[in-house]
Parts: sequence; C-alpha cells; structure tokens
Amino acid sequence: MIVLDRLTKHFGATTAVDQLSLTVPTGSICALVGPSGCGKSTTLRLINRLIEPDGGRVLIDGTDTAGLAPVTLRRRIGYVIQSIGLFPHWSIARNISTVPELLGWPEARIEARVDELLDLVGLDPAQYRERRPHELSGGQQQRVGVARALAADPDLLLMDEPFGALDPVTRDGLQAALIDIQARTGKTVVIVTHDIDEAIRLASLIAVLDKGRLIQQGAPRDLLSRPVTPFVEAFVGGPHRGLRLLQVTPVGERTDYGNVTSGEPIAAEATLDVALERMVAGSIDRLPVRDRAGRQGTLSLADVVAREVTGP
Amino acid sequence: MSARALPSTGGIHHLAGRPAIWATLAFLAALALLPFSDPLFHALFPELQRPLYTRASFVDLALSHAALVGVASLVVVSVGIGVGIFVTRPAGRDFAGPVDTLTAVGQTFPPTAVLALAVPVIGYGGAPTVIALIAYGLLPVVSATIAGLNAVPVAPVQAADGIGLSPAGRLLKVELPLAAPVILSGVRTSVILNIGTATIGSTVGALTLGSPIIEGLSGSNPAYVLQGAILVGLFAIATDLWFDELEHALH
Repeated sequence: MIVLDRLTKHFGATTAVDQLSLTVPTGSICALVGPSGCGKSTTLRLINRLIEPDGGRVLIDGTDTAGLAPVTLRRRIGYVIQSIGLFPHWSIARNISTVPELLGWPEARIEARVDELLDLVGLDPAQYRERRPHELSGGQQQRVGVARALAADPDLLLMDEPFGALDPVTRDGLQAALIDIQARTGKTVVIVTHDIDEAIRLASLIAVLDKGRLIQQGAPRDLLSRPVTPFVEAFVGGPHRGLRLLQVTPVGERTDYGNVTSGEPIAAEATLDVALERMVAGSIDRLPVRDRAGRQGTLSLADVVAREVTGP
Repeated sequence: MSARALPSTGGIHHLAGRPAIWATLAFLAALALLPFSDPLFHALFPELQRPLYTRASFVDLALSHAALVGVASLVVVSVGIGVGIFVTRPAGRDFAGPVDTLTAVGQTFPPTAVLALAVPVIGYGGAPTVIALIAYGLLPVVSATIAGLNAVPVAPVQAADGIGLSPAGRLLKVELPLAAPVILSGVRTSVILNIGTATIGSTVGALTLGSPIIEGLSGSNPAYVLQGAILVGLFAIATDLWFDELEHALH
C-alpha cells in the first residue's frame, strides 16, 4: 500500500504539489490525471525521490521513504518514462538486467529473468535478447522499458505517461499488455497520464489533480457518474461522458434475467459500449445475455440508455 | 562494448584495407632506411658537406619524441577528462566558465613562450617540453569532454536516475560510454597537435624528431629539416590513422 500524506512541493513561487494525500491499495492500478502542469508527474517523482518533498511523507507498506537512501529506494521501484530511455549502447538483455546486476544477482538468475520478462512483455527472447534498442520499433522499445522496470521484481511500478509518444494502435496493444501483466503479477502501479480514456481503461483508482491539488479520487465509474466539481466533470467526461459511462458499466447490471432472447449471447461481464456496438452493427435493439453461471437474459436498448442507477 | 563491431584482423588481405598499418610500416621503414640514405641526400643537396643528420640516431629521436608526447598525453587525457567531468556535475557547474577560459588561454599561449618561461625554473630538457605540451593539449580534450557529456541524450540519463543508478554508476555506465566518440575525437586532436608541437622541445635541449629540424634551420641545412619533417609527418599520420581504427572499434 502506498500512502501519500500531505505531500507538498514548491518550485520557486509556484506550488507544484499542494498538501496531496492519497492511498493506493496494494495490487491496484492508480492513474494520476489532470491537465499539463497539474503536478501529476511531480507527484510521481516525489514517490521515488527523484525530487524531494518540501512537506509531507510517502509511506510504502508503512515505511517512510525518507528514511531510505534514494538509490536503494529506486532499485525497489520500477520506473517507466514516456521517452523510454533505453541505454542505446547496450543489448536488450543488458538493458533489462541493469537493476538485477546492480543488486548483484547471480548471472544464471539474471539470464533466466531476462527471458522470463521478454516473454511477459510479448517479445520472443531468442529473437530480441541480443538486439540493440535502435533496431526495435517505439512500441517494442517501450515493452523493453516495462521489462527493465520489472526486472528486479519490484512491488511498485511507476509509469510517467508511458504510452504517450506511441501511435494509437501500438498504445492500445501496450495498454492491453499492461492490464495482462498487472493481472498476472499483482503489482501496484501508479501511472501518470493526461489521457482520460487510458486512465478509465487501466485504472481501478483515478486521482484527478489540478494546480497541485487532489480534486477527486475514486473508481472510474464514480468519477464519471458523480463528478464533484465542474472541472472534474469537464475533464473526465466532457462531451463523451455518457459514452465513457458505457465503457465502465457491465452488461449484467442492466440485464433482464427473466427474459430469454435467441442468438449469440454477449457475456454479462462485457461492458455496455460493446453491447451497444453490437446492436448498432446488427441493427437490433435486443441482445441475449449469458453470465458466468450460465444464467440467460436479455439486454434491450432501453436498458442500455437507462439512467445510471447509482447516479445523482 | 560489443566485440562484433571490431574489424576482423585475420588474413593478409585485411591488412591491405587498413591504412593505419601501412602508415606505421612506412614510418618504421623511414626510420630504418634513413641512416643509409646518405647517397640520396648527397644527390638532392650537392652543395651540403654532411647532408645526413647523424648527431643522434633517428630511432632514439623517435623513441624520445614518442615518450614526451606519451607522458604529456597521459596527463592531458586524465586531467582533461577529469576536468570535463567535474564541470558537468552539479557541484562543478559554476567552474565551467573559468575552466573554459583557462584552457583557451593554455592553447593560445604560444608553446615557445611556455618553454621560455619554464626553462629558468626547471632547467633544460624534456620537463619544460612536457609542460608546454600539457598546456597546449588540454583545450581539445576538456572541450570535447564537456561537449560529449552535454550531448548525451536526456532520456537514458533520466531512466538511469529513475531505475536507481548512483551518480557515479550513471557517469561510468551511461554518460561516458555515450560521450566516448566525441571525447576520443578531442584526444585525437590533442595528440596529433602535440606530435607536431613536441618538435620545438629541441630548442630547449629535449631529444625529439624536431632536433634535425631545429639544427637544420640554425645551420642552414635543409636536408636535416627534410629528414626531421618526413619522420614527424609519418609519425603523426600513422597515429592519426590508429585513432581512426579506435573510433571504428568504438562504434
């Protein structure tokens, strides 16, 4: 569990981070979102002490990070940046093994770990191990960047706009890879992004920052259905708030289980945007639904557009 | 560094494509053959009584010349790179300006003047020559080190900090290797300059390939000047081409 406790950072006369308190549960993905200059990257860099706070504390599993040597702390925390920053003069394998080498792992363990990580991020070890960074595409390089961050098996992964410089298709693939990796490894992830769709897709906890202050935190659905200020409403929803709500609402919640319709059923765990897409594509207003237990039901277009049950 | 970038050294036809080896052979051949070139220089300079320099053996001159340049270059490289590193660290950044000025002064100050000032203090011979070469050779190394380190891309440096390299680890493992080609080109400039500059050491009694040149100039013996100049030229060319090899190996 990561606890940010009244964290404060000034740069000259400006307050970059202002009394920010936030708790990120172990094993969750937390997205720090907000406009440029809101303090989200600064907050991330305060966590691994790339910059030192002027006030407040960071606790990782109860330990105050101020008591650790910064270099020791950082070797225990994965770090991924937008500009990737692979070491161009080293092979992919050596890039990934940087931190294990610093920690003095035996060579055989490092080699096995490199292959394991390349597999994890979806790159064939035999093909990529000995390549140089410049021989890889941007997306592949960032996969290596993620592998390097995970090399020493840190419990916490910090990501500073990790997919911001990639094209939409590549970004999509890496987001899916991150969801998969997080599900398989149970890492705690704090990701900075200005892309609210990315935050909604990846995070179970979103913290909206503005001018260094935490404005609202909560599950994506909470933020979309109950924004506390017009700023949050505009930032997380904007003109697409209704559509984004569909993305975070499961089909099962709107299904009428007393009613069975014929056809290829949609999973109850799928989200409403997928259901709506199928209705539009098939020019139909009813879809058969089946949940994990095998229960059958029907989702109608009226159910899709019904008012959010938990709404204001 | 990866080994696969090194050119293969096997086979005689590989030698043919490596000018550094040819230039070195030419230099060695000149050293070996000049003592037997009396008839040639008599023919070229019929008006001279003794057209072949014999006061010291050319091999001794070359060895002494190489030693002076070598010692000066060792100091220049260690001090120059050290200073370059220092002024690019947070602690030394304030010194960047003064160091820049100082090294520039070192290079604009004529080496002959350095010799003239040094001799009364430390006497004649190799020592004042080495001092003059150090003063003259520092600028290219210091400025190349600064330029090379400042040109290291930001992203790998940020990543190095973020994943937990210490400042020294970052310097040794990331910054210096990435700056190495630029630093090496500065070392190359410095060494080549000083192979030429070392010849003036012979004006204060150092044994160098400049000895025949200086004596030839003062004694109106152009044959001596030619012999010294040929050897210094070949020495500089061969050394320069070996730096070429080194730069290729680094890529």
